[in-house]
Amino acid sequence: MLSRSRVVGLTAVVFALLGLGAVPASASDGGVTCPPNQPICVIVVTDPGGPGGGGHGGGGSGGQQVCKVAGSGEVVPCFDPVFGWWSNADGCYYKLLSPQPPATASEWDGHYPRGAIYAGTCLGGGGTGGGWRWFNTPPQGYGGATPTPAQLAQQAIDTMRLDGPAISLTLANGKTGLVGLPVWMWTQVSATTWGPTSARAAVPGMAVTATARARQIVWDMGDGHSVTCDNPGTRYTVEQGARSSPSCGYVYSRSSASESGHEYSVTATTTWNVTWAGGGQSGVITVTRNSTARLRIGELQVLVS
Amino acid sequence: MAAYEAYWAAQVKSQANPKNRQDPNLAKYSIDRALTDAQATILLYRQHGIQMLGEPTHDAKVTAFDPGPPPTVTITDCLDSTHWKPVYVATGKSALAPGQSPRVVVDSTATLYNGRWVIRTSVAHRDRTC
Repeated sequence: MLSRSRVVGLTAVVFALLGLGAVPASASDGGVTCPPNQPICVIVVTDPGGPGGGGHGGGGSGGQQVCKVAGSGEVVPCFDPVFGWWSNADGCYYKLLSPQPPATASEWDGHYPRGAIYAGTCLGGGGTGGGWRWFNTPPQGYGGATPTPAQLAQQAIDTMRLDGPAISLTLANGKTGLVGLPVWMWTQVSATTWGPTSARAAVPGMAVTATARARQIVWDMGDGHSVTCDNPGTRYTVEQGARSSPSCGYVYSRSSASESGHEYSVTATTTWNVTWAGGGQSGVITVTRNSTARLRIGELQVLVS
Repeated sequence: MAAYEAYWAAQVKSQANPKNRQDPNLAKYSIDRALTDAQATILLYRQHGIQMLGEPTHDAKVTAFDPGPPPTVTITDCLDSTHWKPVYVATGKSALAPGQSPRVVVDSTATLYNGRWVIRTSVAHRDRTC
């Protein structure tokens, strides 16, 4: 430990001599940028006036406004479905918190119930990642660029709770299954595991409603095989004995003895189809969610005397 | 602690593909600075064509508890980013600034908000190795 810290110290001296600085400063500094409160700093290459690499998200259909980072002149999309609207005033995206924090929250700073609290996502490196901020009137640029209906649909999806399958297997609870014996796979059916579930997102003048329905579950059985079921599966009951699942099942051909923990790791991925409509348009967005479970499969030993 | 693990897992997932939409667990398990710092990082990497590959390891402990309200837990972590590296998406070359310790102290607070434990702040002390 002692020698380790000496090595670190020596490295620091060497870098200091080279003028690199052992721990880069918190702000942008000659291409070195430290993302807010991340453990590492990176070297960035800036392309002023370029598309900014933003690509997706677009500027919305508002058009006229140009959104830029003050220092570098990089262009950013004026609206982002997750971050909200860009403010040229301070180089942050802002999104109104919904619901608003309680009146006791320190961010109100005595202003409650005047104004509102927004979540700021700020570009520029350094210690300014954003956080909750109080504004008496909406921040500059807020609501300026109109999101496209598809972006609003994404926003609606963000507010939905869509989960992976609530995995149920015939051989749950640590019991050992057997090679050659049918395994039944199913998910408990609820609004968050199979749908349908709906959500709405709106800006002044436009509203989009999105409805999510599960289309299929792909069961990766952990032995290199996968099974695709376009249904939630059938719940196993003891009366079924050793019968195969009528809707979603599998039979292992080798034991899980050589797997880590002597168990197969089963991953079930639900594909959600989200249909949305609003703003004179409609579309379908696909979303996936997964969950995992572990399953022990043993081999039936037959003794021949 | 479950919220802390989920928060970092969501950061790792989101930073692996900054051009994609961020992992939904990020907004589920963090609020305020912890969330917007993570989002600002995704935004920065998206703008500059950087992605983080691999994953860090943690040595996190609960170091303080304040009954509140709201109840707040302080978590101290020694984060090791030896196997979690920034690269340029276009070239695959390292984007890591030189002269950094891979192991730094990360101080975080978790709080009960809207009936759920979430991470509210998470500050990596790049000048404190561990």
